Amino acid sequence: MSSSFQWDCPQTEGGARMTVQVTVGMRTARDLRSMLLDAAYALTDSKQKTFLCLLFKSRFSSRRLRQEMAQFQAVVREDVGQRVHLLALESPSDLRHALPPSLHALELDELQIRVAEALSDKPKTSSREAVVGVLLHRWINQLAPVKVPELAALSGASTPTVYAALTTIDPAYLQRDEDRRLSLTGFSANAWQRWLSLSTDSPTAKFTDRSGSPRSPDKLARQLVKLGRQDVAIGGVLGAKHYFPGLDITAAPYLDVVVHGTQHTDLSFIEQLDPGLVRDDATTAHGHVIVHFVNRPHSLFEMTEGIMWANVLDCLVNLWDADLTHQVEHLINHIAPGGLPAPLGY
Amino acid sequence: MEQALTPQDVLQQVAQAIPEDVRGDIIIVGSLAAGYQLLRHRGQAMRTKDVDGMLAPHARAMVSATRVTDRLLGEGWRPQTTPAYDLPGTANTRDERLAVVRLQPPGTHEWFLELLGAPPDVTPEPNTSGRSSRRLETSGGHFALPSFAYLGLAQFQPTLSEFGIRIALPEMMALANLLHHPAIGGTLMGQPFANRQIKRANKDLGRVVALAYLADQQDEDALERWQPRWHEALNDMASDHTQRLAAAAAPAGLHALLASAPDMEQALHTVNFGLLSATPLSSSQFVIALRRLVQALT
Repeated sequence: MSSSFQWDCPQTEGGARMTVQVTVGMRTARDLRSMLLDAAYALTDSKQKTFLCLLFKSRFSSRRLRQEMAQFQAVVREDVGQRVHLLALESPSDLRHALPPSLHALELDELQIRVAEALSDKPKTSSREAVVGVLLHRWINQLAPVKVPELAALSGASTPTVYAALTTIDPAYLQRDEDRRLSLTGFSANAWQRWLSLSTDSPTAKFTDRSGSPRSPDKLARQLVKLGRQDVAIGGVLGAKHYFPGLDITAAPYLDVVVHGTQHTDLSFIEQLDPGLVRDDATTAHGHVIVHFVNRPHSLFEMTEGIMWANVLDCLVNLWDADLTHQVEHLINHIAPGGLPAPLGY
Repeated sequence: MEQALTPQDVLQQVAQAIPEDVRGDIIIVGSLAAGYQLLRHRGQAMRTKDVDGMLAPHARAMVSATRVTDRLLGEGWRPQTTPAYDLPGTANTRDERLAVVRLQPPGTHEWFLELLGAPPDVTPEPNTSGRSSRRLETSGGHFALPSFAYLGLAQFQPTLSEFGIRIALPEMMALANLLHHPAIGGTLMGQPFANRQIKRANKDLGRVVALAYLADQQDEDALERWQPRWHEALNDMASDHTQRLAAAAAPAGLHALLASAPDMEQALHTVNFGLLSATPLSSSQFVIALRRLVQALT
């Protein structure tokens, strides 16, 4: 398991930006060297950044790690090699002794919390569609172009995965500016369809009603809001209608729940939505609650008036998963600059 | 054998037999009230044997009960009792031998009207019945007019039926039962229920679950409104004791029911042979209904 996040430490002398990579259970030298190389790639565009690799439950001895670091620093540029740090720890609290004393105490506390969160199995390595999803997110929200390392950090994907993902995008719609920053300028109907299909090809958990009188999706959503969870959001039709009230659908067929985590996340909270819900992943089962998982580093959830909403692109994927093609087209036309170039192929 | 009647059928008969000027003093409680409030829209028949009418307010209860009894006896209604009570009661009958007013309408053996009196207040200690009784002198002899303090909460905003008789709200009857049973006591019902000996607490808590189930079927947000209504009622009717009673109405009895399979089975038996006889629940559906109620109250 591996995840990374960006860490700004403005109060520390020099005020640097750090990418923190948290990895659990690393076993092989190949994985270690790949990680260090990714770190080097991430640092080549800025001399202000640093990269902190934290290993938990690894099998490497301290001596072996020192050897690997020495070899790594021998093959990369000195100014890059000096900004990559590698630590093997037992727990996040070990950071207090492992990091330089110049780090501000408050920042250290916060860093420990972030690392603990990363260890709780939230973010995980992401797929090519996750990379494309980040570009789509930035495009529809008119966010600034990004370079490859930032794209990797935002999507939780490795640098090779980012480059692989970029090859799947029609070059006509992928713009590189003079600073090699990337952005989308459009997205074809075929590209939308391919991305949606790949994005729905991931595990879900299905819960069905056993009471004989199922709760409405709205009622279940209100119960979810009462739980106050930051890592669980409302997606699907309800989420899509939040972003686009004019969506051409009268009611949600079921409640889509988007969890920021992996399929191994504890889902016992679903019972708190309604005691009548029982997990049943059989293909023939009619789900009243469908749980989807997003494991990118940042959930991209949106809190509005106490309600946590899934990202609109996640909602779009949920609609596609429900075969609501017309509504998918309707929503794309609403959110995408220029709309959907052509109808989706059925 | 009990007859399947619609709540409207029975209410209409009761209303027609009761003098118009005291009709407004009767509040129907119990299974008929539950059926009227929660089943009448389905046009569904219900299995009922006893129609409980509470005369309210307390200050007029004795006078009203006497008038109703005299009127019904005059129209041929027949008093019912058991060997444990004396019928007809006289001035010499000891209070504990006085029968309650339980009158069967002419031409039917299927149901009877039982009169209760509104209590002066609703503040007995928790886990007591709060039962009291007053002697009623009628043209047909002496009877007892019992009152149950918690049932006094049924006086809170009852629904006025199209027959001019008021009907207790389901949530108020549920509150009375929950206050009465914060735990499952061992007291058995006076008579077998559908051929079985049943704990009184299981019958009453089962009724709470059935009320909740039916209310939930009508409106999935109904249970969310129960607690606010309870606080409103307690503030209105027992303002000096609101906090204590509200705390007592926490679903302790329901938790006890959840924790005991035999008690839950008894409760299910009573609802499936009572209020929910037309649409009986499976044991798993009953558990879900119970847990949904607990969730709404927690």
